[in-house]
Amino acid sequence: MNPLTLIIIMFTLFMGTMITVFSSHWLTMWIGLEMNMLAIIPILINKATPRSTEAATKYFLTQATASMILMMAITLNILDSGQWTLINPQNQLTPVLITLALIIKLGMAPFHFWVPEVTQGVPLKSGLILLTWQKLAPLSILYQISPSINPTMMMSVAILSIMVGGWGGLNQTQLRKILAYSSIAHMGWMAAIITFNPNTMVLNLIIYILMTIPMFMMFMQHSSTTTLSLSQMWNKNPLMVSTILITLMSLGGLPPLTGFIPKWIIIQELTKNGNIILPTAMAMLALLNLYFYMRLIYSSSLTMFPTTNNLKMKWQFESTKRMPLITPLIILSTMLLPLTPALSVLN
Amino acid sequence: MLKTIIPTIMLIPTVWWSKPHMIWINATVYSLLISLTTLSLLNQPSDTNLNFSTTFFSDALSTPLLMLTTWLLPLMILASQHHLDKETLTRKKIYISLLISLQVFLVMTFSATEFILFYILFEATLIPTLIIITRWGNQTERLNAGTYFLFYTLMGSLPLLVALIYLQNSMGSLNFLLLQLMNKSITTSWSNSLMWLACMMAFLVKMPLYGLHLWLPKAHVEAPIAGSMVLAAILLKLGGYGMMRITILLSPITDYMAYPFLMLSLWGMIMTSSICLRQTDLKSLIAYSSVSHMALVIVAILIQTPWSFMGATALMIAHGLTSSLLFCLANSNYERIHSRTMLLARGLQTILPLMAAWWLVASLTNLALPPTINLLGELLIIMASFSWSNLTIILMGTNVLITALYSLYMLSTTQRGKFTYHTNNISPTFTRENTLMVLHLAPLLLLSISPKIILGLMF
Amino acid sequence: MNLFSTSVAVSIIILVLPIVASFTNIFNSPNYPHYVKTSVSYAFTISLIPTLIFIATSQEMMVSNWHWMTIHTLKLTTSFKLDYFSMLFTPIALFVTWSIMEFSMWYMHSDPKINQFFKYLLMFLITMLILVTANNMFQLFIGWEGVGIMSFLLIGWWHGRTDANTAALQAILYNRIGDIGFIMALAWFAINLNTWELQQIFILDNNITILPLMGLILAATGKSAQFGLHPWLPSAMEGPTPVSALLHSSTMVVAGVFLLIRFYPLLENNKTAQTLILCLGAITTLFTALCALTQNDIKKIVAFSTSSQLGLMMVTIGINQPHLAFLHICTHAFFKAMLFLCSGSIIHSLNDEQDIRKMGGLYKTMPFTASALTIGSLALTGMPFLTGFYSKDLIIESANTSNTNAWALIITLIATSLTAVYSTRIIFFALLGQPRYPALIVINENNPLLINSIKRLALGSIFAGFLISNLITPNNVPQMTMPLYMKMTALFVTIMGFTIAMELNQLSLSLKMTTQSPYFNFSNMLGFFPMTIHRILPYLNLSASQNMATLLLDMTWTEKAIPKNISDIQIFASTSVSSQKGLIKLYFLSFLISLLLVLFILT
Repeated sequence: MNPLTLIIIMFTLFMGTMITVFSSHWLTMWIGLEMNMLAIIPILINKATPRSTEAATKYFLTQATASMILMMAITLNILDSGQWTLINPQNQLTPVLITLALIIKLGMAPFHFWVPEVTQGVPLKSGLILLTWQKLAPLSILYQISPSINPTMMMSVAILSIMVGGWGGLNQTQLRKILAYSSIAHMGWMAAIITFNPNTMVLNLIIYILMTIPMFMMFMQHSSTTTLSLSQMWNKNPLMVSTILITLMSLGGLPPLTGFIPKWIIIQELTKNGNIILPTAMAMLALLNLYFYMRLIYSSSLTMFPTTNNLKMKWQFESTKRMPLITPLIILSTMLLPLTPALSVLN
Repeated sequence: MLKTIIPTIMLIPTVWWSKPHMIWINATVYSLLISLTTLSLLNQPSDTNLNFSTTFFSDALSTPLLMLTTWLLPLMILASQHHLDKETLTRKKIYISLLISLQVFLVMTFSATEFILFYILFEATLIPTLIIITRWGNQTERLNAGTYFLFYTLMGSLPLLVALIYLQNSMGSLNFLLLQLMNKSITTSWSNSLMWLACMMAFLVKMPLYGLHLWLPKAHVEAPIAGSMVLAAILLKLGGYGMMRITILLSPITDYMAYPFLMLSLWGMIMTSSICLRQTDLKSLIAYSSVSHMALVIVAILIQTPWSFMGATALMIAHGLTSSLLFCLANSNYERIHSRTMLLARGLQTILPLMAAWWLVASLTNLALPPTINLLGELLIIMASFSWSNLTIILMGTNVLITALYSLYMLSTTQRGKFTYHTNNISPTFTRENTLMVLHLAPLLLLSISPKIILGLMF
Repeated sequence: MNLFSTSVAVSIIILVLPIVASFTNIFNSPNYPHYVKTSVSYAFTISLIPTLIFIATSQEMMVSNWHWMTIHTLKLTTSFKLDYFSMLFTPIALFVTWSIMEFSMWYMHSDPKINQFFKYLLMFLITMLILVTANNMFQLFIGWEGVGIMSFLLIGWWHGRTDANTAALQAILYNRIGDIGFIMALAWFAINLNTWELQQIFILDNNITILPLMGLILAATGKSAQFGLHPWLPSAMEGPTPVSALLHSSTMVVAGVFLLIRFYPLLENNKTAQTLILCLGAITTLFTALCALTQNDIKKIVAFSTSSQLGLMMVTIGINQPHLAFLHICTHAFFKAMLFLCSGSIIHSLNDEQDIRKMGGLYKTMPFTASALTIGSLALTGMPFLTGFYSKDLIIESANTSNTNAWALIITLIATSLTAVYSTRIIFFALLGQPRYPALIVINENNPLLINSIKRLALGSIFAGFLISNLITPNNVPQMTMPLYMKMTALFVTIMGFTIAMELNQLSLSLKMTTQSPYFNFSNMLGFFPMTIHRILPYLNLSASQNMATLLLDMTWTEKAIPKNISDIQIFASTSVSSQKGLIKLYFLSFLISLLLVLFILT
């Protein structure tokens, strides 16, 4: 892509999210979402192949639908309240519609079908943006309207997402799909807590992003998109193999790694609000995610996949991409748990 | 407690910056020194506990387990040398670092003052253990074993997390020292029974309770020697330790909730020890024997009398050393015969007489010969269960009988009889191996002189 | 304070020294057996001092020194009871061991590990002394288990032989069944009386329930090879002959009887327990005597006779005469050890031939052994004024005159007469008649090690009974008066036994039975006991553990119920969740449906 174009597109992407996050006007907020959506399409396509085009089309269609529903909800809200300011909608229909639209945008459970397919169709870098940056704008809106979200609906969406995220990933060998399902499951955890303590949701989002970025960066470094290519990593970059292991475990939420913080805090918040069965079920379902991460760990780090001699020489011919940020990111994504007491500010 | 934790952490750089031929020696010697410093914990002037800080403390219950943990690290390092002989230097270092990190977690687990911290560290021990089992095991089944290990434990322990957080919300604190003083308001209701289950299940799985024990033989069989050792010696004891800590919270419910689990343990004790009678696989036999011994500990903890708690603590320590020793012996056989099948390694007494002596002592301690602490533990437990119900003596007695049988069967099969012809070219025992066995046996035998230091809180 | 406890301590220290020395280079020296033997003889001499003091002044002593620990209110200290029983038994055990060790120097001289063998024997002796002198149930248990384990090691001495290993396992298994009873008694005493000290138990309550006594009886049954748990004793003959002589005739097997004698203050008030012991002893003594009748292995005959005598001791406890039982333990140790040594001498001389049918005529080639064997057999049968007479005769008399169960009494009398039968049988087959062994064997019994040891025991077999019963003041009231026919019963049944035996032996020489009678089979097959119990129970147990515990419960049910079941559910759920067609039409349809549903439900 032309660098100039790239800069413009990236800037639009950035600005779109920022506008959404900072605006207090429904229309600007909507405009920000649209800018963001339009800017990501070229990024998704990147090099035009049929697969990426298909993915971009699917993404465009679902996002546009969501935008339209959101627009409708905004219009209804204006009809109802007579103002564009982002205050908590008072009537019953509007927040439900807004939430549904944003759920479609985030790709949560009943509307999740597009997420794995779009992620699978696009390059790794675009996939990273899709699974991390693109969540910010919708979640910021959800954060702002959180008091008026219907808790029952959000809870069912959460449980459904966690289930789908767990079960869907079990059947996959494609890394991007696995990460997409993992994203669905994490979105479920965020949805579960948003009506009780939105700050915790933000924490969860931050930590999710922190863990996903190094994951993608490690895949990008070796352009691995399948479990098979991951399993041949040990003779190219042995150190990476162990970092993959620890990052994946963190992603699965095993204590004492960073991934456990949000799970812990969310369970705590839910328990404080009188939910006992629900967090138990969520924690159990999170084991499904852990299971498919474990499979990745097994094939990448804990076994040595048999390789031909030629393959062992491969590291000499591959240009290593420079990823200077990967080390601090891995440390952040695994070793933050001792900082948890500092999180008491969330309350 | 930092006196132990920080030097243990610093062992990792020691290993990484040691000269290649010094890594084993440095790691062993320094970890042995660390374990000797923990002896000072035994001096407990106050009756109830030795409070170091709000984070870490040790009392009569955790001190023996702590010392066992620190004692086991040099032994694990000693035992693994041959297993890692063919590996590259970096891998050796990673392996030792894993063992060390496991010790760090375990020490912190046993000394944690707060229940949530205990829980986090309890789970934290899974990661190094899992890596040790699945990365350095020998067969492909190790992956299955690792999965069983991880998921059985996690399935059991996640409800515990929820229950703990719930308790913390209702009680305000989960500090071990405060728990004894708090006014518990647990009534006998359905939801509290469920909470009891949630609290206990994590530890019952870890122990393991019969029926939930499948992960243990698999993990033991597939794990490399250090993995088996630490699993049998310490990780199982985490369950017992946790149960003894948490029963303070659950006092009125345990009385009736314990019945099914008591029955299951008593039954499982007989079943697992009978399984031992038909095992052909040496490591599997020792693993099932662990399950059977741990069933005794479960029974003791659930009966909840001072004597049973003492018995449980004593048996945990005794079994920790004994089973670890048995795994070491099995491993030294395996390194020579290259098979765990008992039938393929018979009559070893003829060629390895000193090893046969270790085998003998190990089997005898396993079957609880007086005056070892194994007997003391079993006797206290049998007494507690006898006073709970006279009929249990039938089951306990049967178990005593079967334990003796399979221990000596194992001894006879491996050491006695005619020497098999295919096992030629066997290397003699190394000083390292003999040291390893002696270092297991010395505390075991010395403790029988003064068992009161391992009798726990109730003594 | 006199020499009493000091000399006991000295004799124990002397015994411990060779064990300590075995960790030094001395253990590699060929003289090590000699050291051990000498230490035992010194220990014996020194142990005579307290015994003589005891005989002279009836001084008893309880030494309670090292405090082990206190569990709540249960105080555990090492405490030794130097009383009637331990003071009399210690020198006897040491004397017998001394002789047996000397014999072993001859018998085991070609064994490459003879030093270790001596160390084991010595360790056994120490554990036996711990057992005898213990004043504390826990300490008693240490000795109890110690002798059990040492017997396991010594029976399995020739560990290359499968039979030896099986016999060793069998011994430990039967002992372990007895241990269950011991452990139960330990538990009961700790819970109900809160003490394990013997004298405290006796002081506290003499009318205790039957439960702990049943435990003790079970323990004694296991250790002393009483009926039901007896098969290990004949199997234990797989071990070397000195081991049989030491463990399985004179010391270890009497531990069970000794335990009951120790606990007589509890037993003497409990009639149920006494009846139980009486019947158990009577059955044992008859059954094992019957089994001894048709055995052909010389050691097995002696072993069964041991078992029969143990039964007789139990009978004596059953008629509430513990001191008499103890006297029989003491006298029995001499002649039974000697019988084993004689059979060892014969076996060794005939190149490890144990079958009495292949012996014969040994009175000419081995005159010394033959005469010792005869003395031993006569002492065993209770020939007047030999050692056995002093205890056995008294036992029969007290049994006759006591107010007891006639059935048990008759059985005991039959067994007593059978004693004469099998003793005669040994003499007849092994010593008399024509030689039936290979002609090329060079028989030489003129080895001082052999001669001295047997000679010493032979002297014991002749005089020990007289000495002991004359020197000791009887603690139980002996039967003073009785009619002549009762006085003569013991002698009469024995003579009857001799007569029958001679008749039977003549019969068996002149007539050959065409088909074996069922009675013969019953006796020869040891009452079909090993065939049934040893096959059916282990078969059931092992197949249950294989089929039920391993295959059904472990590998099928728990595997199926938890991991496999969960994984099946997950696989099903996963395939249904992730079966996506990739068609955006369908996705939008599902979006629409969910949207409508949500709106319908929520608004």
